[in-house]
Amino acid sequence: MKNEAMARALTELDDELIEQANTRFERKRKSGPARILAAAAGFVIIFAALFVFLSGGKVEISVNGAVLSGVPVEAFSPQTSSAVPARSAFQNLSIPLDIKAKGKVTVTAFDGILRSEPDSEGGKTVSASGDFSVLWILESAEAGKEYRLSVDEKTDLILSFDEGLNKWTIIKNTRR
Amino acid sequence: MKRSIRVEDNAIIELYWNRDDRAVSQTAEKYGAYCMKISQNILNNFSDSEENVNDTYLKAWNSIPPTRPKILSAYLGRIARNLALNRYKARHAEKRAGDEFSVSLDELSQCTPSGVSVEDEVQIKKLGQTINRFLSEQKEDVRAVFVCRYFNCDSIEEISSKSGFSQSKIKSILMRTRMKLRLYLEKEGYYEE
Repeated sequence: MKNEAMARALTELDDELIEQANTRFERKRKSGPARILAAAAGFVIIFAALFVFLSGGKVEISVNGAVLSGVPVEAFSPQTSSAVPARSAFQNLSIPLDIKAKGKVTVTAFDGILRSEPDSEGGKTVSASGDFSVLWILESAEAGKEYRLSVDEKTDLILSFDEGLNKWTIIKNTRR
Repeated sequence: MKRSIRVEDNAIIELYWNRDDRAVSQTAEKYGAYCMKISQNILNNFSDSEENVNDTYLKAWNSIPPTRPKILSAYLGRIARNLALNRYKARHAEKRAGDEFSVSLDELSQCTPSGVSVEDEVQIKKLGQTINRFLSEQKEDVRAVFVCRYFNCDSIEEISSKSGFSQSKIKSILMRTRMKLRLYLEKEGYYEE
C-alpha cells in the first residue's frame, strides 16, 4: 500500500485532536442557523428603527386641511382672508396649524408667538404629542419678510408673502 | 451538551468494564454510523465495511478493559481505521486502486518520509506524535480539514459540505498543510540520509 507508513502514523493522532476535528464543523453547522436567526433579528431591528424613524418620527402639519410639503400652501388666516386686504404694510396674522405626531414634538416660533389654547397667553414653544393644534400669531407682519417656525428643530415652516398670488403662503422645509 | 456526551460515554465504558453485553449495542447505537463512515471511506464496499465495524466492536470488547479510553469516539474511530487499513492492504496487495482513499494516500506522497518502516511500530508511533505536534500548531479549521481528509478519509465534497468551505478552499488548505508538514518533518530530521 502506497504511503502506508503515513496512513498508519495518522491513525496515531491524539483522541482530542480527532474529537475536536469531528465536532468543529458540527459546531459551525449548529451555529449557522443561529447566525442566520441573529442576522434576521438584526435586520428586523434595523427595519423597525428605520420605520420608527421615518414614520414615527414623521410629523404631519396642515393648515386649514392642506398638508404642508415642499410646495407653498396658502396660509389661511381669518384676519387676512377677506376682510383685511392681503397686502398692506403691516398685518396681524393668525395661522392655525394642525399637527399630527406619533411621539412628543416641540414647536418653536422664531418669529411671533404660539398659542395651544385660544385663551392661553402664548409663548415661543409648545410641546405636545398625538394630534394637536397651535395658533401661530404674528403681529405686524411685513410682506417682504420671511417668518420661521420649527418642529423638533428638524422641520422649518417658512411664511412669506407671495407677490404673484397676492397671498401669504407657507412652505415646509425639512432639514438634512 | 459535551459534558452529557462524556457522561454517556463513561457509562458505556463502564458497561465494557462490567463485561455487560449492552456495551456493544450501546456503542453500535451511538458510534456505529461513525465507524461505518470511516470503514466505507477506506474500503468503499458495504459488506466489507459492515464486517469491519463488527470487528471494531469485537476489538473494543477485547481491549476494554484493560484500556479505559479517554474519548470513546476517537478510540473506536482509530480501531475502525486500523482494521480497515489492514483489509484495504490485503485486498489491494497487488493491484493499484483508483478510489477516493487511494487518492488521499497519493496526496500524502509529498510528505511521506521514506525511511519509516511500516513494520516498525515505534517509528510509526513517533511519526504519529510528530504529526500531532505539527497539527496542534495549526489553526482549528486547518486541523479539522486535515483530520477529516486523512484520518476519517472523507472526500473533498463531504468536507466542503460539512464545513461550508468551497472545494477549492479545501484543496488549497490541504495542499498548504501538506507542504508545511513536509517542512516540519524535514526540521525534525525525517529526510536526513
